[in-house]
Amino acid sequence: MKSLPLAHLHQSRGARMGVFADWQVPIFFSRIRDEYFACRETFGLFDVSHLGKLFLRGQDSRALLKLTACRALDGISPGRGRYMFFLNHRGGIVDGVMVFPKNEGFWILTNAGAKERVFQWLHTQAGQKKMVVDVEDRTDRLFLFSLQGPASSRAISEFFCRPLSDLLRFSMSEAAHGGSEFLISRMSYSREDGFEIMGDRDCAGSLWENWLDFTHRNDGTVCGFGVRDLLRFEAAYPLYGQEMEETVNPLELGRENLIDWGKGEFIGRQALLMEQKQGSKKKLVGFEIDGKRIPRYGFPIQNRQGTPCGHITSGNYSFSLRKNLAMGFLSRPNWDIGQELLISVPRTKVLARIVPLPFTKDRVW
Amino acid sequence: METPDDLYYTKEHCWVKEEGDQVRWGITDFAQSELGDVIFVEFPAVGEKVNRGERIGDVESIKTVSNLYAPLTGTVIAVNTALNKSPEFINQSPYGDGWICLMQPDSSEDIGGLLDVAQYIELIQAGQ
Repeated sequence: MKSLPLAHLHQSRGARMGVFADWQVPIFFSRIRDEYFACRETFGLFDVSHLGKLFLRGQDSRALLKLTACRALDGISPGRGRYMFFLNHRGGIVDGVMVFPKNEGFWILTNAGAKERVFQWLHTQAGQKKMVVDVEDRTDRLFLFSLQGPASSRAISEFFCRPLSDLLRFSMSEAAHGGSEFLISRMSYSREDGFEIMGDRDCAGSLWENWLDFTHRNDGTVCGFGVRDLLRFEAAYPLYGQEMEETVNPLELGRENLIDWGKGEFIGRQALLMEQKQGSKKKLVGFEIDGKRIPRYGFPIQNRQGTPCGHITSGNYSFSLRKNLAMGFLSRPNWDIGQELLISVPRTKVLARIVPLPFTKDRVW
Repeated sequence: METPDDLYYTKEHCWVKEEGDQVRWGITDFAQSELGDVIFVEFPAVGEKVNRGERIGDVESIKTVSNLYAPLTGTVIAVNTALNKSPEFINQSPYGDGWICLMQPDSSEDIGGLLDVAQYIELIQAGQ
């Protein structure tokens, strides 16, 4: 079991700890409900140092990304980044990652549970093609904090005393605080405005304490992984190990917009083309649930005729929509919007209706 | 963590309070803090005969779902239907507005077999 570098600080602040992707992490600090509304109304502060932080460099690093990612990096300006999938030869997702070109190399932020696999995958593919690259795992040397919420732009600008509100979405910049340098990026997994702060682990404790003070003085809230999962779920972002696996491809996730067909050959392209031609056998859909039971990962789904037709990948209660929602994979042809299905929960079945994803839309920011 | 000393407790993290020849029970402050935000309670039926240790309902939270086990053998007299509208009472007031069930135990002596506050605190600390 791995521990966040600041786990002791989180526990001393009363965090309820739990396990996520083999990491001991804070699940909540106060109440998930309070943390949720902070992220929707002001801002929430997260320690997401569990995320994989790889740095790719060497003369063939761009060529390796062109081979392994299904989305192009060509043409993006310096400092910009992109979310993309690494695929296996069957088109299955090795991981969904953020890639930022930086100083003759590339930062690659991976899901926590997929980091080793991404690391090995890049090594293996580079080795087979005899590419000159170096993939360095910097996860344990670095921390990563995140702000999510409509006031996060104002908060991070005030904290670093520089106008970071003009940083473009999916961009990376630098900022200093207390004599140390940090990398700042602007992403979102909540459909709110969002920023990340990455730096040397030695600076993590003091920066976190400073952020806690700032957060409490500015109507923000420190948050745990419970609300993080709820925010990404409402936004219908896939989570590795639930929606994303090596047996799931981007078409099945409904993310064809993240495939650059015209970028040339990449690993998994032929399999995706074949699937596109034949049509997917399964598809990720969203459900509204009747009643008060939350369907959770693995719960089976059947159609109104009683035929098994899929399984749940994530379920949760939406505080803002005030209803139970779920995502899951359905087999063809059960996925029309509005169709009603039955989901098995312990000792009973609940009625579910297929609804469009995402559950929440992007806020204007 | 609140653990009142005038209550009895079970290993399944229920509290039990004597009220004349009836008992009122719910889940403890420790249990609600472990569960996080409660969003739904499935009650036993009023009038149902239940046996000590039998699963008679569920508490569903954002994080997880947890079974409710009968703390004593007896008959369900009433359930706290206010929790249908406000399940958060369990988080806000686990020993007060967040009570779950009122029971008529078959034997008033059975309550003596439950944990006292010191034993329950020891149980929690052993698990941490």
